[in-house]
Amino acid sequence: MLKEYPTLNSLVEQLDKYLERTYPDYFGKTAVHPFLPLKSFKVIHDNLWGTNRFSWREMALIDSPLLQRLRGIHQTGLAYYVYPSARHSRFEHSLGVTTVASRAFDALIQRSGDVLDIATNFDKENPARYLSKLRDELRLAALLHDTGHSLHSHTSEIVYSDLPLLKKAAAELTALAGRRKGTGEVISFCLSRTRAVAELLARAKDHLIDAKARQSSEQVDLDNISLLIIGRSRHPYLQFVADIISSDLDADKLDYLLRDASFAGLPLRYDIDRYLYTVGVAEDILLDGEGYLERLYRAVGAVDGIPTKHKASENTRFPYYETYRLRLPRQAMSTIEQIVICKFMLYSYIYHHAKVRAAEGLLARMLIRAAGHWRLSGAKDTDILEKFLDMTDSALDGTEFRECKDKAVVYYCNRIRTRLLPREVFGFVSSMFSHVQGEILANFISVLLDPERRGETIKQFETVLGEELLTLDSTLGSEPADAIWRTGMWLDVPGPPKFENTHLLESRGVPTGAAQPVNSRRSVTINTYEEALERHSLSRRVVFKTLSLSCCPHIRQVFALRRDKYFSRFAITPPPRLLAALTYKRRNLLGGRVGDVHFPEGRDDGVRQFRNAAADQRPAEARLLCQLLEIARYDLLG
Amino acid sequence: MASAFLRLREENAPGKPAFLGHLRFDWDGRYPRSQESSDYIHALHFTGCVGASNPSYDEISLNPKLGELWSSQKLEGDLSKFMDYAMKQVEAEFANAH
Repeated sequence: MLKEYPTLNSLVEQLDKYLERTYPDYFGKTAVHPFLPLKSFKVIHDNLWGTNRFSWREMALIDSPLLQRLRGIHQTGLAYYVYPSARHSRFEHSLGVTTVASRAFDALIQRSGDVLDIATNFDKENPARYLSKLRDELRLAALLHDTGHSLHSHTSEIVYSDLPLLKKAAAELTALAGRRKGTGEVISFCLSRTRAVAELLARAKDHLIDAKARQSSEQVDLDNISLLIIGRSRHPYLQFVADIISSDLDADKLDYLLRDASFAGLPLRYDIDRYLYTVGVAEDILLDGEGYLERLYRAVGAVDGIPTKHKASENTRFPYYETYRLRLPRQAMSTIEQIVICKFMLYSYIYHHAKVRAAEGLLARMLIRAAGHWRLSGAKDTDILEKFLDMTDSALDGTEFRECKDKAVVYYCNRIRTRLLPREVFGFVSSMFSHVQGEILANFISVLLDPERRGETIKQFETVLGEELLTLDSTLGSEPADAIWRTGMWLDVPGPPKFENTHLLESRGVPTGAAQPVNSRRSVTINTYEEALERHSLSRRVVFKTLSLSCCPHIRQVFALRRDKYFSRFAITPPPRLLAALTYKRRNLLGGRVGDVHFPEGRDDGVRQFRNAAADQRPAEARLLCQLLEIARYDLLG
Repeated sequence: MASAFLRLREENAPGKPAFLGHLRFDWDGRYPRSQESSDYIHALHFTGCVGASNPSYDEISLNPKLGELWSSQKLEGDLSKFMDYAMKQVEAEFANAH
């Protein structure tokens, strides 16, 4: 029990009841699984990581519905509509993360005596035994880290994230971890803390064939496992273990980068062997200015007593804990570059592919509508959450959506199933502002950067779009929302890739690299059913013209200059070596296609242009005019 | 930067702008981080209001015209007092940092 976090406790209880009710054979009072005697380990073959052993505890979880349901959830959502072979599931990803996590842990032990020294703090007599237990917990955390996913992974997360219950739980988890946490992690965290999981593991021990192993096996710490899932641990000294599960260069990323690229058929690789050869542990500090970590360690009862919290010093300026973090030294620079490139390429090729975004946008809107319908039918937050936990990707073929009383849900579902996807009719990126002195566009982009105002702004924007559509064709409905739903139109603002924890790239205080893709880089598109427009005697050209000339003020200076769409998407910043290497690597990876990448040199383009324009306004106006003419030629005149 | 905002958020002075109360901080390293203030700095940068000659925003230069515009705005009552106080706090923060 986490005393100061009532919503999380209540969610754990509710999930326990749900598991007991839904899977009585596994988690009920008369549970019979694991049914057969368990071997000490089993071998599972993976196309990425080869042949790997999974312990009896892991097998008990793998063979339970908690993990088995992940077989039905595609890792990359609806990306297989574009990359037909990208049909890998969260299940094999979870196994892959488990393998990579333990390989990283083993590498740390092999390469450095530091880890053994750290373990001595917790078991003076037998630190190796403590490390073995920690390794087991790490692997179980890796195995369970994605159990909270529902159909089509992150697409459904967008919908259930809005449930007040989960918002409240996410806020509590953020306070618990002392850093921002999403709802996806909330469910995995809570599932791993359920009595159902603890009892399953306890029963599994009784089914072990090997009596010796049964006697010698140590009890795993489920509290620590749940904390590892959210990137924390029972003690600050063990933070490096949590970094393996949740950080910017964690096992999750190492697996999905390679797996997604491999299954999609993209030639993206990074050098995992070099990563494992170089990964290490370094002393560091964890600031705790608001006391979140202190509350966390008190709540979970840290091993070996409550850790010492140091008072603020002149250097730290806040109270802090001494800790050990996962670190990659200078020798790993090439690997870091490869990982950064892989991530950006995957965003560019898969996650932000126009058709993938269109399919997932359609699905998200269908789920929002369906959730609204369930709520109108009397469903509470927990009922909706349970519905999502019941569903896997095959739900699209079931009756839940295809026979929904809300016709819009049925229509959207049929469109997704038959791949009648919307088209992008309008698009711009924030970097275009650098080249256009548009105050309105600047304001609009600035508002989109604000997470608190983004949702409301998009809603307002879509309402204006709906009003404009109604003026074009009054048969589209009586309300703007009707027109928006009928034409399948929405504003899409995909989140850019993030690499924020640059401290992970440092070694002993010396920065080895800083990859800081700026979070504010946004691309915005408006999608719609093209044939819906044709049906209402509207052509894309007319819509564009109407929107750009007479619609809401936001759009007046929003351009559809497709050639610039990916301009400045990469905001990789110096040090120069990373910059140079990225250009070079990308050239190698893409066979010389580097034309659409923009690397700012020194100062950002926006500032430079602003300064140029400030001296004399005329060049800026001339540039704007040229661009307008070019857009008109390119987009309107074909 | 985040430290300065954090200290200002904790202040209970009259005239404190509401947005300070909404700032949240992540504690996962050698300094606190605030997504909101980071986004705001990025927004200022991309809209050309400030210049930053390095990726980590160690040095930020305000566009002189914008500076003039901001200076010309007359703040009223408590907000003006709070801003004066905030400026002193931030100056002290940066003096310590160097």
